[in-house]
Amino acid sequence: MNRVLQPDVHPDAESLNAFVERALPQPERAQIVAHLGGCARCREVVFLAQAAAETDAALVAAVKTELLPAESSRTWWWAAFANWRIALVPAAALATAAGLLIWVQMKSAPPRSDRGTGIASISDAFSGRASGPVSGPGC
Amino acid sequence: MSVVPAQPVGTALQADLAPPVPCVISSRLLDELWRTSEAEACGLLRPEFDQILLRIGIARNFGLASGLASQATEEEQAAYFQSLRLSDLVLARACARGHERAWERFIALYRQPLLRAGIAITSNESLGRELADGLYAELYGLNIREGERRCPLDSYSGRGSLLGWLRTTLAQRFVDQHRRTHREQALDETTECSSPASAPPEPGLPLPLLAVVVEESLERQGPEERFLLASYYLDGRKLHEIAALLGVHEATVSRRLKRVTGAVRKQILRGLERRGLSRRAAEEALATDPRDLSAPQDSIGAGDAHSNLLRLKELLQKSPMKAFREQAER
Repeated sequence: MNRVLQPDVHPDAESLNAFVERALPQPERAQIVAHLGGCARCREVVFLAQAAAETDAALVAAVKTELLPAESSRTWWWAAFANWRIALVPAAALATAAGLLIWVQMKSAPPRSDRGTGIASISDAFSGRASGPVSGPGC
Repeated sequence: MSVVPAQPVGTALQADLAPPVPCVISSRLLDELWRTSEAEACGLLRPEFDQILLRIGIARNFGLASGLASQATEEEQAAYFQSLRLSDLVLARACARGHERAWERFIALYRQPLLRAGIAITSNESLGRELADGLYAELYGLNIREGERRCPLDSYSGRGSLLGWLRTTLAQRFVDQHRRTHREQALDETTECSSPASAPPEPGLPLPLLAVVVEESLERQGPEERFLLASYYLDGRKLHEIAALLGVHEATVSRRLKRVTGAVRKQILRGLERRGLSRRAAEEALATDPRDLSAPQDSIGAGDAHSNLLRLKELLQKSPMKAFREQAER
């Protein structure tokens, strides 16, 4: 109990505020509600505190709203972009998948430097030779 | 018995500062809390910080049942401190100890909100300013008792926000001041309205009997129901105000009020019948006195129901505040 602020039997400011902010554990909350049922003074305190908090929140929100239009007019293109930002996630995933597919295909295709050997191997296969250098018809 | 935490290196307190319950908070937990609470920015020293946490933890039993503070495990202690507004708590205690950096921070964060709260509570700019300035002066420690500087911020222990605590403290002061100032007038008005001489009972109505039955019926209601009845019928609060305070929808409050008024009405009728009144006489008695119980939407502000409301108010205000008396005695 807060004897400095409330020397009588009322709950202290912290308990009443914790009740208003719903930060009390259930047993203590029930105790406060029971007190409030019979104490006009504390009921008035909690309703006033709640109303002051709501007024302040509304004021802060109003200030933010006043500031917002000026900001948004400067960066209208950003606001427009911001609405479509969510599309960036699947787009990035698609791009990654496409890149991966291309990379895998390039990896599975025979390397450019081996093409000669490959052609030679095919020629060998057709000519019935197992290996050996490829020679042209005029050689 | 002392706690055996995971890392049994405890806070080293001076003998005169040591709490009566042998208890230790592990240095690992204290390190973590020190980092997250911005205590250094408020100018607190580490031993002061450790001492504050230990004292608060013991005073609140680390959120456990009474007498179990010394048995709290490190996890329980950590959970308790996580449930607190630690940065607000540290700021409040640093201000109470007169740290300049803490006051700079407090002024930057709370001077204007405190003023706005004062104005919102009093609905008047000059009164609000006066109220806020009065509290601010007291917080700053101008109140000296027994040669010691007393700061109300020392009573804040981190449950709920510091701003909320400031608002509630302002509201308490305003209400107390208002009640003190208007006590004589209010008492006169109450006496005039509730006195049987000024509001003579209608013929055939057993008012004392009705009062007993109403009191019985109200006592049978749960705490939340009594709070609803008192807020709505006695204080004239709007449904949305009650709903916002309880954190429920307006329609829920309305439904519950309807249900509880119906139950109270039935209980009163039954009580009157048990005491020998006929059903018709009981209904007549109910219709002429606490008629507001059966018609919640129309009762508030009705001029002729004023004296009945005051009688109902007297009955509700008789409720004992045992729990808080016990707490205060402790």
